Amino acid sequence: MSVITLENIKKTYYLGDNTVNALRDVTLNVEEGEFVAITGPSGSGKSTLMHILGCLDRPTSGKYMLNGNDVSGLPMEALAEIRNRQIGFVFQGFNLLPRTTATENVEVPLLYSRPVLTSAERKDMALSALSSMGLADRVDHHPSQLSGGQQQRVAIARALVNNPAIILADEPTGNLDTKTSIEVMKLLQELRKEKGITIILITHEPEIAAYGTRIISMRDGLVVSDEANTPREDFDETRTAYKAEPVVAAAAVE
Amino acid sequence: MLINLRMALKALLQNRLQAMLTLSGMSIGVAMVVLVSGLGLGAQQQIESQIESAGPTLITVKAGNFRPPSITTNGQQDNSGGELAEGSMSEDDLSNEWAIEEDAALLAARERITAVRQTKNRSPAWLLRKEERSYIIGNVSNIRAVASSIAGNVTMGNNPGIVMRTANIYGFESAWPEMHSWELQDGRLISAAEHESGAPVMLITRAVAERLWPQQPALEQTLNIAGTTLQVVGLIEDGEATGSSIIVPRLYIPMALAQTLLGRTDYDEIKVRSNSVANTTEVVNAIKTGLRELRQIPEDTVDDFRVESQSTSAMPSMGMDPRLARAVQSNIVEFEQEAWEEMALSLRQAGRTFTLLLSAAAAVSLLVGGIGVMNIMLVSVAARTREIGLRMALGARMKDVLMQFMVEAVTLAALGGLVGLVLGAGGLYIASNGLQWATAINPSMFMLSITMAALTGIIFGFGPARRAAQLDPVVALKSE
Ligand SMILES: Nc1ncnc2c1ncn2[C@@H]1O[C@H](COP(=O)(O)OP(=O)(O)O)[C@@H](O)[C@H]1O
Ligand SMILES: [Mg+2]
Repeated sequence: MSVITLENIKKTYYLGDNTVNALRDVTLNVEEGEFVAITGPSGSGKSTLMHILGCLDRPTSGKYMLNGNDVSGLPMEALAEIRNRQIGFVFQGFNLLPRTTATENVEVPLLYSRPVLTSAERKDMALSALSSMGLADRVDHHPSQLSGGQQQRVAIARALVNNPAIILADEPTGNLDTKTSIEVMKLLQELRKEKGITIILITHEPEIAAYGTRIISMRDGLVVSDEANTPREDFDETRTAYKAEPVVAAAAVE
Repeated sequence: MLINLRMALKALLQNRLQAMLTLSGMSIGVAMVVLVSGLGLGAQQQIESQIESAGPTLITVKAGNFRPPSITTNGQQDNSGGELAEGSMSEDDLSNEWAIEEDAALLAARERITAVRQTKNRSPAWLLRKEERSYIIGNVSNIRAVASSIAGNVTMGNNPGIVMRTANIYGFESAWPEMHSWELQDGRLISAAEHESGAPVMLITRAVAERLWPQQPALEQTLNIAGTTLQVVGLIEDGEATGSSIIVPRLYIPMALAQTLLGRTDYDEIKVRSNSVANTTEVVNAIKTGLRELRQIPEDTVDDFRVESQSTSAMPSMGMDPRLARAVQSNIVEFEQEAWEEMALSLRQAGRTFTLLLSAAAAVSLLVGGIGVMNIMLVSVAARTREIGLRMALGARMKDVLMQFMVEAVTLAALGGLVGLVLGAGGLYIASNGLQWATAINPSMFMLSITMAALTGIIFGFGPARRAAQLDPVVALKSE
């Protein structure tokens, strides 16, 4: 079954007299359980596509079917509910609330759940999401007390806590060192395998894209290639130093 | 809601210094509101009580018909005492005479002329009886208190060391001291229960106390009066005490006891306090009508009692020419009413102006406080744009974000309000106890000030909160 169907999606930004065609004409179909890696050079429209897929933004034209429902014309209030129930976001900068415990961070999506959850229910759900990410002993830590990898796992726990159908990850390894990046990619792979969650990963690094079951390349707002991939199961970090060494910035939300 | 409150407190704690500054701004505004309402209300109450105490609300009912001669409609004094021609004119005669075009004034004049003339006197006048006192209490509306008095001389019993043989005993009821502004100087007044039962207790003036017991304190001393032993329970200052002399000391005692000692069941005076200046005339008239009816006074007979309001009775003692006094007196009730109402109106207006000015000052300080709240909220929204974007991505709707920031603004304002309440109450305390200003404190004031603070939070928090709610999640997420 198709989780995502995009038909002739266009997104145009108007900046004064200039118009920027961030997405020219994207038609795409993603099946349940796929791990799609979207790559492309900077400015090719990856993030724009991701915002539309994540219902954070609406396309200028075209049709977006999510789980069989047309969401392209829905008002922002309805999109908020879809984001809350069906989509889990993982960001490059983790986007955790500072001076707030891991548990409370994971609880944030649950604050906006309808029907309303009790604080006990929220806490239970947050704790089990955290322990599934191997963070059972870090639940009361603040982001500043966690390593970059741990922070990103808290963020993944937060993305998972509402049992979404899709996880959208925009450069999730961008702030992580090689070793930690591999851990995070393995985690995402496990999620796909064990829970059947559809994962859409945006990265400009081919080595990271290699973890997907399908690799889409974009250029100038268009899909230029779309190929099935045998996901990389293990990664020999000594073979390809794909990244200049650790650039850990615990960029939390300030 | 609770979670919003927790989030709000957390956010405020993270911005401690700014929050404190804003909070103090708010608290000054609210303290002003509390002070203003306390002072304004106090001033108005003072004005009311001044109007009240200056105005004629005290009515005296006395037996006896020592009325000044009535005055005819053309202003001529009617001294004849006999039947006047007008009184004997029949209504038919008049309507024939003035059949055409009578205006209201003429009509009223005609009615006065054709009314039965009260020319007869009843002698002797009836005394003031218990039923009449009960009638006033039970049937006359707009009265606040009723108290009667009685006075008379009795022979004292044997009191060792005291040379006086006669005492002037003065029976009164519990509302009496307040009506006469008696000042308690020592001990206590006589309780309502003691008045009721006729307990053997008495009040005396200091002058009398010094005469009776020059060597010792008078309190708790006893006197034998015609076989009854009375104990002094209080010393008073009675400005009007005229019945006391060095030879015949006046003893103020419960009404029931005085009646027993004097062997009487009637009263010398019944005093009535109307509940406001505006109602005095009405009360006077109601008492007159009621007593005439009770006493079954025929239409052609003058009252055998007097009902006077305070200024009516004060008039002759003001040194007014007796002829003028007489002329004024027949219209005094209406005159007083209008004069007092005018004075009361201008005083009340002055009070309102005062309160209005103070309120304007309070409103300005609240406004300043509100601008402070708005400022910190704008800063807070700007600083947390990314958090807002994140919350939106995770499912927060516009109204969730709106609510989060509204709760934050209202929490801040209400906390400021609480502090302001304490400051304002403290200020009022100093104003009333230190500066001796007229203040008033009532609980609704505190509710008002907290409500005003919360309202300020709502009004000034709304702009920033709406700005937060209307952020584009994509843009907000990208912000640093
Ligand atoms: N809010 C915006 N307003 C105007 N232009 C935008 C906006 N967001 C993105 N763009 C433009 O759209 C194009 C695609 O951007 P983006 O999707 O962020 O690319 P990528 O994520 O692949 O680097 C770029 O040219 C970018 O400048
Ligand atoms: Mg991008």
